[in-house]
Amino acid sequence: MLFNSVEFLLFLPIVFTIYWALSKKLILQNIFLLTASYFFYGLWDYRFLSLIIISSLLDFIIGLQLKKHHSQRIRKILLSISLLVNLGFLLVFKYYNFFVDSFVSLFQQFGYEPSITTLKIVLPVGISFYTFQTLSYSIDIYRNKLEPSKSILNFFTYVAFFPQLVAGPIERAINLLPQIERKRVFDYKNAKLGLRQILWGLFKKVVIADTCAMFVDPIFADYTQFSTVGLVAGAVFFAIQIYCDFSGYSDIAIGVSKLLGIELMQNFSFPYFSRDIAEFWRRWHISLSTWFRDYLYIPLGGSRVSKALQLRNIFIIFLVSGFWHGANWTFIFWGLIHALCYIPLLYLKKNRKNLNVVAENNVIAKPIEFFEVIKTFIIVTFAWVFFRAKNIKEGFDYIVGIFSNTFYDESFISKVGVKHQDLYIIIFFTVLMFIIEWFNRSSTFGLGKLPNSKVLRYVFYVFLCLTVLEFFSGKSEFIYFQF
Amino acid sequence: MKKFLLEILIFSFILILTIKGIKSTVPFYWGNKLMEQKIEYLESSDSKYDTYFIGSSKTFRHIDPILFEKITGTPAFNLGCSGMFALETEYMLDNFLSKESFKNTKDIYVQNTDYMIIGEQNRHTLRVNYYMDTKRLVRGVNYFIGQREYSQAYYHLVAFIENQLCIGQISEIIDYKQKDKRNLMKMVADQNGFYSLEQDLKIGKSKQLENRHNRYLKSVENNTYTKRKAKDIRLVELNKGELGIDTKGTKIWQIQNNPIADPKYYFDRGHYNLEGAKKYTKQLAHLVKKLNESKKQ
Repeated sequence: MLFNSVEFLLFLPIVFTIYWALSKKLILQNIFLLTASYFFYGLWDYRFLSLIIISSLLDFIIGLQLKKHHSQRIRKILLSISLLVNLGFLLVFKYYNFFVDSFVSLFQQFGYEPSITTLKIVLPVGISFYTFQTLSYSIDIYRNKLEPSKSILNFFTYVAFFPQLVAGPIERAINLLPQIERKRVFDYKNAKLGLRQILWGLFKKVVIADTCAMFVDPIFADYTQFSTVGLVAGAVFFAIQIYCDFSGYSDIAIGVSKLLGIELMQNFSFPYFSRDIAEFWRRWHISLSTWFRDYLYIPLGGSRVSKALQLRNIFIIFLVSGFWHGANWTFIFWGLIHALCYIPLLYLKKNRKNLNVVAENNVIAKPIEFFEVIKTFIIVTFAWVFFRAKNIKEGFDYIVGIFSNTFYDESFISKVGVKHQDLYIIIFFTVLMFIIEWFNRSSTFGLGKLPNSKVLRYVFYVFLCLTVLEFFSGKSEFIYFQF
Repeated sequence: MKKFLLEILIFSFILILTIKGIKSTVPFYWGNKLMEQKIEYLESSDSKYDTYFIGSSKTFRHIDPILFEKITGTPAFNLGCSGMFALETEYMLDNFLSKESFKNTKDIYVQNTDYMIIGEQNRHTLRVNYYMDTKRLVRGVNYFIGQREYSQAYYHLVAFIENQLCIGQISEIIDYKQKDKRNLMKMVADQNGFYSLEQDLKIGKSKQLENRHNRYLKSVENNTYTKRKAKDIRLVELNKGELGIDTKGTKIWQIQNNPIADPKYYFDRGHYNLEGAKKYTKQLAHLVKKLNESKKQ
């Protein structure tokens, strides 16, 4: 089920009502939450529910066994089983064809023609997200940071919790499981904030991301036909699209959870207001970057090792992060670009220079800050071209096109197949979104702070609702579903 | 919780009121371009009609009201429209007959009362949603649940929600208000709303229509077309209460059966050509005349 669908519009009030009606009996409430979560996922493809159930069951048993056994050898074996099975799922469903294709083309370089067939594998939605959740559970118990759940119901509900099941935030058991295990109390302020966050998420996804897609898809599909203006517009629109799509999803997920009395971690913190790449990564897909930091970067030694090992660690974390996004060299290359931009900051000890928000306590940024934000946006947008391209060569051709076709082409709008009006609309709403987010950059989401006047707020909500309803197609999936 | 629910209720009320306000700026037929032209033509025309034909393309392309008037002496107008099935027809009738200028209508003839199947390609479109009010929702859902076509019942529910929430309709409403009105084509107006497929092919020169026609001719030539059985036309008076239509003087009749089997009267698989339409109208007119005469006696 998509958040941006009429189905969800029906689903959410029903779930909300029954969920709180059962609030006196935690077990019943969790049984209902689990059923609703499986229903939510099953509407996409019920067959893949089995994967979630297997993954949940395995990690539940391993969690209990890890607690039971004190022998380091047995504990290591148990953890290895969890890693092997969970990563095995990912390997089969997400990366099998990639490895086979890469293997075949490598051999073809040397004149061999190995006959290995690829499989027609459907990527189960959300596999990268819930696999990482269950993995973190086992690892945290192994590290004695977390007590295993004794209730299979609670653990299954934690893994399948529908708001964040298919596209995150990747919530650690340390944060989410205790909330599932204890009685939830309805909080008026939190629920109101939740609704506001859902509205903002829908606005970003339905109004901005989906409209940007109308420009991005045709430009990237036929980039050789476009001039500099068209190609730059395509890249910038993609940068905006992916941000609004993914952070929009996170906003809705966090908002829905707030309605259910559950707090999820912040996943985006206005990344396009970052002054350097290090700050960007502290603000973009926070749940994934902190996951890799805690379970990969720090175990590898992090930054408390020699310069050469630091360099290795940075490359590993960025390349793995790129690879997590999908089975294509373009994602790895995207990670590499970010690594190359991050390393100078690390060596110059400037990677923790910008820990506060830009223009803190000021309305407008200083010229130098403004310049840094624009510079970071350009670097990030450059990297997004490779992320969006079909292959690395296409990414380079696209960039070369920007610099070689330096003529203004008035027909760019008609080539895209949209009206001029659509361009003005998307520019208007994007500017509006960035202005609103700028004034809320110290909050946890774009509508964190609003005017005190109730009338003004209501007028603004009605405007947002009507805009969302106007752009609501109920069809377009979120980009991050494919990861 | 009470405070929260109350606030949601108040906000929903404001939002729905705003949506209703926006929707009230367009007439009931705004989602159907041809119907819009036909009704606006009728409202601006000095001619008055006692009888209307309404339904899908099988009304629009098959019934010639001028020929009908020649035989029965009753002035009539064809309100048929391609793709207009049972629920849309009922919605039109309901709203049309409540208008002051059409309240004195004596007879309405409805031809196609099949329920439309909402396919994947036309889900979420204005043409499918704009007429989905509470009455149509209840009838549609009841019908499809009775047929055990639960997905169709669900699609009707979604169409209803989309229409009530004005989903994707605001820009269409703005366009509707801004654009210059397109008048009913002179030929269609001159023929009292009737427009045969042959005429459409000659004037519109649609490639799609031409292909459809040629495909049919080829199937007749190769003798691969579906043979039909002819059955005399029948008129059945419909229960207005069942349709949810409240009109005092007007009678609503359903035209049943297909009286023509000969493939030479057909334009394509399901529609008559001009000659077929004339033949069909004549049969219908004679039946109506006979019925009127028997009533007088």
